[in-house]
Amino acid sequence: MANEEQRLISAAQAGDIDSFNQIVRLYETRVYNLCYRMLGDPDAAADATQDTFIAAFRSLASFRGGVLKSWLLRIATNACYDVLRTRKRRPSVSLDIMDHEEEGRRSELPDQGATLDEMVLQHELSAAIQRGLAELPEDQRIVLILSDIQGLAYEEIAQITGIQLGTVKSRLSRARAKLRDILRAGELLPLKYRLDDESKTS
Amino acid sequence: MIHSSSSPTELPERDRELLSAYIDNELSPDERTALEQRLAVDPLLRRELAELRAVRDILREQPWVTPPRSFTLTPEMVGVRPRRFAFSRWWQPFGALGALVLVMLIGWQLLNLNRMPLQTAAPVAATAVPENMPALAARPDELTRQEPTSEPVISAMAEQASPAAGIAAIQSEPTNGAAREPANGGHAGLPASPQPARPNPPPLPVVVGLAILLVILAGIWFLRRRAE
Repeated sequence: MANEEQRLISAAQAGDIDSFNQIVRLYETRVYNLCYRMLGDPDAAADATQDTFIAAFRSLASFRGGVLKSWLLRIATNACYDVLRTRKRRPSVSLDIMDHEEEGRRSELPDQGATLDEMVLQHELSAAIQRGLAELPEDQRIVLILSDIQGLAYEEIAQITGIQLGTVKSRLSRARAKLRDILRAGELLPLKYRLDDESKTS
Repeated sequence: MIHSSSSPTELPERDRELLSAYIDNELSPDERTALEQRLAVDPLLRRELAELRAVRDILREQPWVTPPRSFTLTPEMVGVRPRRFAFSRWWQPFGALGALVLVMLIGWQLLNLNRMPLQTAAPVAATAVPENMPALAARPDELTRQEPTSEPVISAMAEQASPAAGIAAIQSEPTNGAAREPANGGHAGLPASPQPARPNPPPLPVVVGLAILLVILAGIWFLRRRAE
């Protein structure tokens, strides 16, 4: 796998778009999900994802080895920050953000064995999580997404975001606590995570 | 889904960081041991741990969103034209070698042109040789008599020219002697000019053809670079 990826990288560095597109297929879902969770808008996430891969292809010569996934997610993170900066300059962009949220959730993978109640609950929870993520400061949001949705280790998160390991820890703990407060306020913490369940100590 | 009756915890920020890192197994062994000892006796800490873990688990259980489309690139997106063949990869060494050969051939031609006045005598002498050869064959004694005369001239040439040229001159000695034969006999005032045997330069059309080929290759390269 690593050798195959390295072969694709070398071919893409020589200008072979077909090889680069194989890399795109490997990572597009991951990159798109990062952008979607970061931006909360499927269209903006799609644009940011496309920009990420175009930028990656153009700067592939500067890739000096290392973990390609981290390198791509770093470019994606910067692309998301660009979109967020643009939104701040033109704040009238997302009047129909709720429609976008619906559209984004419709494309989520359904749980095959779920009952109707569970599906409704999952739907509400997903909406609450996306709203909660949107309420977090951007620097905490990206760390939370990379850690708890993308499943990356602290070291990788530090590399992608360009911050110290200690900063990753503090931002992540603050982000989790804030999202916990948001879910609690929306009465969306599931039963199995009842706060009085003191049996969960480790 | 439940209503929570608890208020936000009042844990210090440092404790929350430790709990968050504990969930992710990112604490050192010492930190982990110390925190577990505190968890065993502190219900507030245990509750905070359970809530943070709940948030982490909820996020991890979220299904990944399916991208609405493929994000593969086209050549137009990145401004690259598909290459028909890897022209610029393999031709460059050959192009450089061709240019070097061309420079050498042109230099050869120029040197040859500069020496033209010296060489003009050589064809004359060379053309004279076949006519005199039968006479030389008929009088081998005269040929041997002329050799001592030509030796100083050849050695003087050898001193001026390179060793290789001297050797070539010595090798061509019979011809020079034969060429001098009529000079001694019929053209007393004309100094003999024994030319060292130099290889003939390539004909001018070959050099011009190579130059044109290289100019065409350079033009193709330039046009392709501009097109890209």
